[in-house]
Amino acid sequence: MKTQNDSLREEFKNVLKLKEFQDEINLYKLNPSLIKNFFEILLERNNGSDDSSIIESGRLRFESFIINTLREQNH
Amino acid sequence: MNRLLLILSENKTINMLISKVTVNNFFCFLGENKFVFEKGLNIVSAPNSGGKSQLFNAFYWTFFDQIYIDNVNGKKEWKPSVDIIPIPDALSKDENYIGKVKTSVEIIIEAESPDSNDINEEIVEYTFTKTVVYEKNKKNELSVFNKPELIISFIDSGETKILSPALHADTLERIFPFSVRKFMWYQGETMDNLYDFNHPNTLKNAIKEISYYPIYDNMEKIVKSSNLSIAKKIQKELTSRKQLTTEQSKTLTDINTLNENIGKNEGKIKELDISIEDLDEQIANEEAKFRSYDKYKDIKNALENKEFSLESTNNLLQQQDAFLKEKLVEKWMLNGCDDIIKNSEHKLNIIQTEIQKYANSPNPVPMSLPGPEYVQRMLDDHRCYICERDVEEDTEPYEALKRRLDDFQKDASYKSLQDNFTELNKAKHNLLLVLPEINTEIKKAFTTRDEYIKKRNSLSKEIRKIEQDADNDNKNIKARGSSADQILSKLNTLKSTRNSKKANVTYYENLISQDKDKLAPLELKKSKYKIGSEDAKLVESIAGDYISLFVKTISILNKEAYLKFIKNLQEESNRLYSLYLGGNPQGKIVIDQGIRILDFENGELLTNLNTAELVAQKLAVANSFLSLSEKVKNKIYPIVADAPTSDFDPNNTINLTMNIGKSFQQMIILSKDYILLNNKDRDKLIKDADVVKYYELTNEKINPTGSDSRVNKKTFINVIK
Amino acid sequence: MTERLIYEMNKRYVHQGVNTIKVRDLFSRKQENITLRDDKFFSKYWQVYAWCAIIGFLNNKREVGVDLPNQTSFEFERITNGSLTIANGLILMGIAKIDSDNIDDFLDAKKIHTVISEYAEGGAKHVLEIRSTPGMGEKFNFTDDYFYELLEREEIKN
Repeated sequence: MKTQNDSLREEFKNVLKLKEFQDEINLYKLNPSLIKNFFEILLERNNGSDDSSIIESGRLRFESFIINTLREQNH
Repeated sequence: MNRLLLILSENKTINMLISKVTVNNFFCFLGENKFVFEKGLNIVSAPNSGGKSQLFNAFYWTFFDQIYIDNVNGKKEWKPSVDIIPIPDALSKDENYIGKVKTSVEIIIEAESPDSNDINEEIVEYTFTKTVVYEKNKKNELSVFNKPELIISFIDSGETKILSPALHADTLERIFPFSVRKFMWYQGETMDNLYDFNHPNTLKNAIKEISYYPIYDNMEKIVKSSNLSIAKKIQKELTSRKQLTTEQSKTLTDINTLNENIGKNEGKIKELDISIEDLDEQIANEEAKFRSYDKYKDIKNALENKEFSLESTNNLLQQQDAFLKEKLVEKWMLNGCDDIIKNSEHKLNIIQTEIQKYANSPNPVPMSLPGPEYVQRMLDDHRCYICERDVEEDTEPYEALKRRLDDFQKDASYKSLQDNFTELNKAKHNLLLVLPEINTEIKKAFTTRDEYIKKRNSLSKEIRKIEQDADNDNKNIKARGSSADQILSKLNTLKSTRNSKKANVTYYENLISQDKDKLAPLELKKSKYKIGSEDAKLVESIAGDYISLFVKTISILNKEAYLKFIKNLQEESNRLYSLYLGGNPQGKIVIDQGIRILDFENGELLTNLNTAELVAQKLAVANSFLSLSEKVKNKIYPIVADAPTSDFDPNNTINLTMNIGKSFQQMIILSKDYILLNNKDRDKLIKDADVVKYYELTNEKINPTGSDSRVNKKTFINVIK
Repeated sequence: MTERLIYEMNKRYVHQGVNTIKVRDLFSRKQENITLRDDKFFSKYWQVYAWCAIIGFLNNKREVGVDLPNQTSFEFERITNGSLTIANGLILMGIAKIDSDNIDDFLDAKKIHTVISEYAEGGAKHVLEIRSTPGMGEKFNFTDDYFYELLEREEIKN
């Protein structure tokens, strides 16, 4: 039994399989498991709301998480 | 560890189920009456006034505070329940009865937990109990003793918890989302009012409930704004490390500014779109005021059909124009150049002659012996490596070697000439084949285009004529307090406001387009900058690479989510539509701006559908919304249908019953159309259609010897299954 | 000459004269992407250049020896990639019009380029002259004009 989030994850996985994105992942040496983790942040607390303060806090969470994760990797 | 629990617990589909309804002193239900319902197809069969509408009302009264009841004109309409007294006539009108009367309805359903946290999406048993107490005095006057009260309780970890009244509205909205509600509670006699698909917003709101579209929309906004923000961070960091030249810095700043402008204007367009949607709704409301006039209904239908055809024609015309342009720049512009191209034959012949001359000349060079590099080497070293002796300049052997080198060059030259000749000849040949056809192709394409233009013009004319005729007649008609020309004038204002907003949208779209044009060369410049070395690549820069990937992927998912949903809705609607009509639908359901039925072959709008087909269409679309919600949101809703087959003939009723039960986890049908079945046929239907519960309701005398009035009547329940 | 002609043609930049540039700015959009705006007929520079050249060839309007100052807009390869048919057509017509029977002359990519551009300049001038005729000031502002011009060619021949 899938949840809605499972369906979203599956769709994201499928779109990543497209050649143009595989090429981009290879070209910039992006880490697929990091990509997956970053997507989870987008799923968190996402109820489709349009409110600009929710978008802004979502952006902050997303961006900080990516930057912090990459910084940790470097050390 | 917490993440793991999260993943494990996300394995449930929310399966709503109505399990039990207890009706106490509610309209024709005297005393306590229990109904138990199960998963699958449940039927409550009752004649008119038998109690089926009141059972439907029991749900609506409890959940939504409304009753569907006769109004002063004898027609039924929805009324707020606070205006209605639900006590049975047997009590309220009985002069001998004095004292309190308690009316209550208790509904037990299984639905999702009231906890709004995603982690705890469990299924929980709710009990909704609505109670009102009246008091009747000696003068037979009724007054409210206890106001109507709704108690919602649910069972959590074995304990019964009562939901605070402050949370009632939210919980009801969670369990029965407003836009899905319309599809769950099917009131056969008021189909149009419950879900009017001519209303653009009905479709849009339902879509928001049942698709990923809002979620992807939200994600897209986040990643796009993140993209802008990370670009600024990168620039800031590089500037502080003095790794950018002034020009590079300016380019990056310009790019950021343009992107921000584009974002702002896109926001303005979104706001305008919302206003336009709102105006559309107002326009639809005003137009609905004309609905009571058959004439205006006809006019409106005719107009809609024409406008739909006009739009299709315009689309075809646009496509044809694009095709014409494409062909022109691909080959048509060479039309008429045959002669000049043919004239190149003269030059090609010269080449051919030259090639043949060379081919026929004596002493062709044997290509397998020492190649040109070898010969060049011998010349440079002044030594012949074949006969192994020195070769001085200006001697005969030296000249001989030079002549050999020349031979190689001549040969290469000849080869190249031959290749060129072959290519040019082939090109000329192909062109001379293709060019003569062009005129015919152009004429044919233009004829098609002309036909579209003619059709477009005639449709426009017809539309104007219809509008004019309507205008001429309206001065004599009044509609519910406002005269028709007042409504028309309001409509014109609304439409012109809408048009000017649409013009604004185009204006902003142009601004965005211009900014994007300016952006492209700047982005090209930026991509050529080698900013920072490969090893010490900025964290922000790497983050930017990831974010850029997200922007592209989410954007695709967003676009596709909406389209995919419409496609699925259409497919599912057609599947059900065919099912309900026993495999014999007249046409196919097409969903774009609204919902229409088009002929299978020629794609034209079908207008002469009989009632059963229209009902099947509406049922099919409504039901497909619900069944899609199952697939997409993993939430299954039951459907309660009062008189869904009221316009069907007996055969279609059986057909519908057999097939509709298969479309749902739980369906409760309240209908009068089964009472015509004799016991044998009824039992056969129960078996064939897999009916899990079958109740028969009759409205009989309480005291068999008493009078025939409503005071002496109540509903009796006969449990067949 | 040891290289393929098409390769030599492709790598050279197309040189455009003053009139060609004027016509380009009148009828061609600036950027390469497709937008919803429908103001200009041509969406890429090479298209309008090729069109001018063809008009020049068909109407026998050649600006021999004209100055071709604009030299950096695009390589001939854009035409070959855009439509091989058109590229081949231009090359063949260019070759046909070179006044020399010497192979080294008429298979010279630079010379062929010059011929095509001279005809483009002549064609552009012709188009501008049409537009300065009273009553024809709007010619080629509209889609239909391009197609009627195409169909007229057959009638002129016959």
